[in-house]
Amino acid sequence: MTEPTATMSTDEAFGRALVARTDFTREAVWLPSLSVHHLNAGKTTIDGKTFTECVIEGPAVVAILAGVTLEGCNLGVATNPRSLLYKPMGEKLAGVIGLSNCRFVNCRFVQVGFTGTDEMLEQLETMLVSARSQSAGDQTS
Amino acid sequence: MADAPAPITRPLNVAKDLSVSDIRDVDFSLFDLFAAEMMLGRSLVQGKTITGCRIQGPAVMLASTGVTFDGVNFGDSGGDIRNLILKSEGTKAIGAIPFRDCAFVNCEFYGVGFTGDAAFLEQVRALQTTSLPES
Repeated sequence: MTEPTATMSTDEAFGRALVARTDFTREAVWLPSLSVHHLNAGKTTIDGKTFTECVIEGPAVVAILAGVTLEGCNLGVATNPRSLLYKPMGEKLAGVIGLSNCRFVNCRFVQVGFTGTDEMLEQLETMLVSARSQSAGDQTS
Repeated sequence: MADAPAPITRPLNVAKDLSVSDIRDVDFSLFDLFAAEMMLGRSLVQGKTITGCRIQGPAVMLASTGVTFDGVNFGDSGGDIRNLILKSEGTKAIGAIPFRDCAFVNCEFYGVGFTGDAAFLEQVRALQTTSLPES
């Protein structure tokens, strides 16, 4: 845990401790705040963290980069699951929160959109459609 | 060819009240503006005139109806304005911060992406690429 010092404010100590953490379990994670603290620490992506049974809150659009896994996650609610997905128009991305080497286990995403490569978007769409079909099946069974 | 917008050169001036309709010559994050609206029970940013402001991400702005940009620097595009644009694959734009009937005048965006309908995206794509002033 990073402690505040005479030259470090409580807010900065909190931010540094947040960036240093690698495991988040059963808590609400506010993505805009987590991202800003990473940017303040000179890190352009959120890397190497495990989120277990967390609520991941936006509003935010995340870029799914290398090494990200989503296990048993609810990616969000939309009549059309594709409304959660964004296709980049250029080779770079602006305004999004980059995630790399992160593991999400049984997490629920709220007000979060997703972007990435065409292959990643296809995978996410498949996940969203199958989760929706499963949910509809659960309700009718 | 249109001239590049004049850079904002005043010192940092962090916004203290983002609930007002006329926001002028202050600096704020897009999320803080949205949070101020949410505190008032609103689900989108509507009816604001934002002038001479530096606006920080990371965030994606959904420019809905009636959003105008005049003399605005959309941010460092890395040489290709398309790098600032995201296209929603569906009929809505989950995760983006929605704006309606807002005017941005002489503002600078930092780390903000933009999305909207096809006509808006085409307008942004047609813009001349500009660079932010060196900090």
